[in-house]
Amino acid sequence: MKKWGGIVSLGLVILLGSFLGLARPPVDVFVFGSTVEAETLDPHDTIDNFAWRAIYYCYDRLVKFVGETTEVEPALAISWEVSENGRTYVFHLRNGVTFIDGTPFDAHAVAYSFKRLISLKKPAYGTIEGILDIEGIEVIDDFTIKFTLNFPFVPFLASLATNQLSIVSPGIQKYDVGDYAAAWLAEHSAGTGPFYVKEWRRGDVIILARNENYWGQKPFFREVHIRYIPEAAVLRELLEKGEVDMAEVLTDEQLDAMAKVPGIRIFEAPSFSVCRLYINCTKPYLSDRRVRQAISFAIDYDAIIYGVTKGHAVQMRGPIPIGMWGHDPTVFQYKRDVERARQLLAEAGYSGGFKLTMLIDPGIQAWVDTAAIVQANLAEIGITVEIVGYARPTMRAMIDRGEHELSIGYWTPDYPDPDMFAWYWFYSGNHGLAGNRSFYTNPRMDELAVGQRAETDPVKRLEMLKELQRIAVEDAVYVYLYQRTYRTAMREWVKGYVYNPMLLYMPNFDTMYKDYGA
Amino acid sequence: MISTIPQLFKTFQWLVQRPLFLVGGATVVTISVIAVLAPIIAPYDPLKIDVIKRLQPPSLQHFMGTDHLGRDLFSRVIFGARISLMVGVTIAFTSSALGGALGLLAGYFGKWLDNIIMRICDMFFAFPPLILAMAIAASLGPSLQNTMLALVIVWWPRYARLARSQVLVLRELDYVQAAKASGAGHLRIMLKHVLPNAFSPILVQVTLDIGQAILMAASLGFLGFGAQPPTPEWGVIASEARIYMRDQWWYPTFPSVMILLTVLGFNLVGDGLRDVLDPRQRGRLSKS
Amino acid sequence: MSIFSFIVRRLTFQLFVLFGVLTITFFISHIIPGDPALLLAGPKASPEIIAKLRKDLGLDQPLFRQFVIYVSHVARGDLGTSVFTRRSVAQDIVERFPATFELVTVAMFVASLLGILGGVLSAVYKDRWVDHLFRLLGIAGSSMPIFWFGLIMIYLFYTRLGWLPGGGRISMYTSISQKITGLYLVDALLTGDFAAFKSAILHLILPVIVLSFATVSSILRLVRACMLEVLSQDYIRVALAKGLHERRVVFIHALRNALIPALTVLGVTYAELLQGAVITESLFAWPGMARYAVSSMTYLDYPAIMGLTLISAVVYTFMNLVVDILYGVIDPRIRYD
Repeated sequence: MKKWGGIVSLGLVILLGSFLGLARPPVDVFVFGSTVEAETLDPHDTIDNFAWRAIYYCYDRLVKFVGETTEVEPALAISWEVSENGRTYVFHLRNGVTFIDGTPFDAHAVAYSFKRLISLKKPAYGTIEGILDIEGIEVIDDFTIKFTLNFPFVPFLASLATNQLSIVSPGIQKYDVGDYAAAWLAEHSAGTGPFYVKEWRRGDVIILARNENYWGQKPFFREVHIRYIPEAAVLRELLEKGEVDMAEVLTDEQLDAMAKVPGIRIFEAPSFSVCRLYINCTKPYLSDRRVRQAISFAIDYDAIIYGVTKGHAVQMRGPIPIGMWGHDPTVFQYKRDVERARQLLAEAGYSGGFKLTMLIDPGIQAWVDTAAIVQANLAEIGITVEIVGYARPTMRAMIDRGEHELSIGYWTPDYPDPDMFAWYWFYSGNHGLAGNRSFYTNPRMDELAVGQRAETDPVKRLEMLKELQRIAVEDAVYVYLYQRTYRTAMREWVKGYVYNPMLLYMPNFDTMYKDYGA
Repeated sequence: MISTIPQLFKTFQWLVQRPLFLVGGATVVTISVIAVLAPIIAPYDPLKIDVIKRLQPPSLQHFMGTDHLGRDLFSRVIFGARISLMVGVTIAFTSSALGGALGLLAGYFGKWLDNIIMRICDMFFAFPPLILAMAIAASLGPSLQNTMLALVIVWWPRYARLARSQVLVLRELDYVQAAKASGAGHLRIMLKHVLPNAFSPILVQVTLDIGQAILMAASLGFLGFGAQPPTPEWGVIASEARIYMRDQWWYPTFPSVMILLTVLGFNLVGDGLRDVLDPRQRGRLSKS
Repeated sequence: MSIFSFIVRRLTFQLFVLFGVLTITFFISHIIPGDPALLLAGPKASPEIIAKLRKDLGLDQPLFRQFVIYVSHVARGDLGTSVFTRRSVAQDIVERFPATFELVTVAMFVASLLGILGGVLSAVYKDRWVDHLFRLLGIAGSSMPIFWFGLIMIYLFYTRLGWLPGGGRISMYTSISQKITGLYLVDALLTGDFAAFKSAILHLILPVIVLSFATVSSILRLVRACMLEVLSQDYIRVALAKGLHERRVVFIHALRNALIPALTVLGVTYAELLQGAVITESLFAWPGMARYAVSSMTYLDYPAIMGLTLISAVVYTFMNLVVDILYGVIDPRIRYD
């Protein structure tokens, strides 16, 4: 018996020994760990930044953002002219570019791509809905295309750099089964970009491979692996052990702890991504703006910022984020003032208090925590809040139908223009998921919201935006909670990372590189 | 079958000689007391947020430390005991009552009623309980009530089958036949003769199931289908705590250990009861 | 009764059960609050798509009609289109099934092995410390919240000790070159890829331990009870008296007889394992069916939820059928139902 025991233990030790030893990825393979999985890879479908991360670098667009700025420069379009009235854009396109499937890039491809986006009518379409229609797309010649907008949409050029307006190869039509090839494109890529989708093992990893025939600067990485790791705790371990090169989305807690780990770099920068509470103005009690103001005064903004974001956020000042053109730094900012809140409630006739429900997605811990704090804050002024949790799609459907009273959400602008807030949040035509999630209606606001997006004179536009912000705050349409600091974690051997506030959660795979010697 | 006082007493004597049963019993009793007295013994309001004091380690002010929003973990865990016990007992009793009644009817009356009820049971047995409960809870909307409803729906069949098999045996016994022959009504027979004796294995199953129900409800809470935050249900707390495992290991550990101890307690008690009430063991009982 | 007619009887029975499963699944999908077409199409669907779906599924028709449509779809293998992945649910499930199957089957082996070993030792050394230890461990296993056990294992073996991987089925730098069965262990062996095989095993160790721990207790308990029963029987004592070496008697004769009734627990064990897999796969980023169940239920992807519930019932039923038949084959007495 002893003999057997000895041999078995020896065998186990040898076996164990041969198994041990961790490996880090080869230097030309970039491994990215994500706790959020992409739902589809079709650029004309999704408005989810996490899906964009895999999609963005498989495609090009007419223009692209310059480095870390929000300025745009030529990409697939080498030059352009804009008409006097701001409604007509003519683009001159780059020669000698081919899509990954071999189809040559030209104006017909651009027209096809835009038409597809419009016809699919998926959420991505929202970026140009009402701005550009199929009739407005005109192919002038093989490398010239003209867009005639419905009105002089000021941020049009910037919007062309967004993921939704990626140029998709007309070659995908052979996969069309009556769905504009949506089923096929959901899992493959068909762009001109520096990478292409080599394989997608759902629930596991998306593998991007370098496009060896790319027209621009070829990326350093031969492959990019975007791994789906649902447990944030596990993802953190993988990063600390060097088995992944970069990781998102980790909690502020974890990032703070990892900042002290040698070999790991935490990058942070202010972003335009904001968190706001929706206050449904069509519901009883909430239709009275004094009640909404009372709520705005009752919230403990500092506690939320400290407790939920661990201090990695800045309280919003009005609806337009700090740092964006058009933001009015003089607009009023609510601060916690329980007395004032009670007073306002009494004025409105509700000193006895009342009940409200707050709708959240309990899967997002930050929302759970914020709701808990809001619940405690409002209890102090006599409002009893019941937290109601539904999974995101149901929550979004309910918000779209205006069934919520209080709710919460993040909002990240796709293009660097205050229009992303002014028009989406306050225009009465955008009630619901489109952006106006407080179901707010105010004719004066409508005038301003619609007017500012077509106002080509920046001085006049600024005036309109100032008034819009003032009303937005006075009417307490939303509770403007905070503006998030974007944070991401990577190994120190990852170099060349460039942060662009328009490209949140979409690190520049095409221009990064690794240096293990460092 | 324990139907006389001296036998009851002997059973009790036998039980308390078994250390595992005692440990289990003591655990169950302690936790029940804690649950009942929760509002009195909890030092803080389980929902009271104090973000400045977040994630503090166990101390004299906070026996189990604080959670990520500064709430006192000890108070939350105590109230969690209340919820878990309520959930476990409700589910076990409701499903045993429902299932037991149906099984009783099925076994007693037999024929087509038996067939229908048993076939329905078979259909439910085809599902792994957790998955069926998840589907029901997800469809109705995640909440503690819906989770309990889902688990009752999922669990009643096992009691039906248990009750029925007991009844089938008992139905043939002499004194039941005698009662029938002397013209006693069905209901009287069922209640007076059959039920008390079918009772013991059901009691064992119920005890074990309270533990299992607590475990399942906590698992559902952990996955997000059960109680919703900020309710201090153990599974919910553990779920919120999981990312803090590394640096604040106590945070997910305390509620999890509570689950472990509670379920263990019920399992030990149930096991002890089963050993006692198992006909094969009764021989040993009479020998001692 | 011959084996054949026994099998036919059991099969018919299970088919009937499956029909009931369909009924229950269908019924569940109709207790959804809200407009089913809206929820089945997903929040991003256009009105045209919703209308089309309504027509396809016959949602404006009487319930019975809808059920018929549903059954005919399922019979064709059409389980609907997932709202989240936009692909056929059947395809999603087929893709993920091998991962879960591999995990659960390996866990089954491990649990059975440990359960049998523990049960036998417990029975043989009854009431001694071995018995008490194993029984306590067994009970602890069935009382332990699996999510905590998993977190602890990951923390210990991955975070602190770094001996085992923290998630996934295989290392990031190896892959199975040819997917033949979808079971990484089998495929790696078939293609002779030792590195992949090694990696797959390493990745299986922790999830299998976590998953099987809870189940070992039921197996252990049953084996122990059966062993005790058998050991107390006369013919065993006779065999001992005849002078056969004690160990041989125990392991060969008693074990075989004890295992026959213990077989009945295999079916239930499979259900326990499937349930445990739900949490285990979530913790270990295991790309299987169970984790897909959690994500689809979290996102209220109704077609996927219904498809998964159905499939899990089918798999479980099938396992029960296999166990039933095996039992019937081994123990002829059972056939006389």
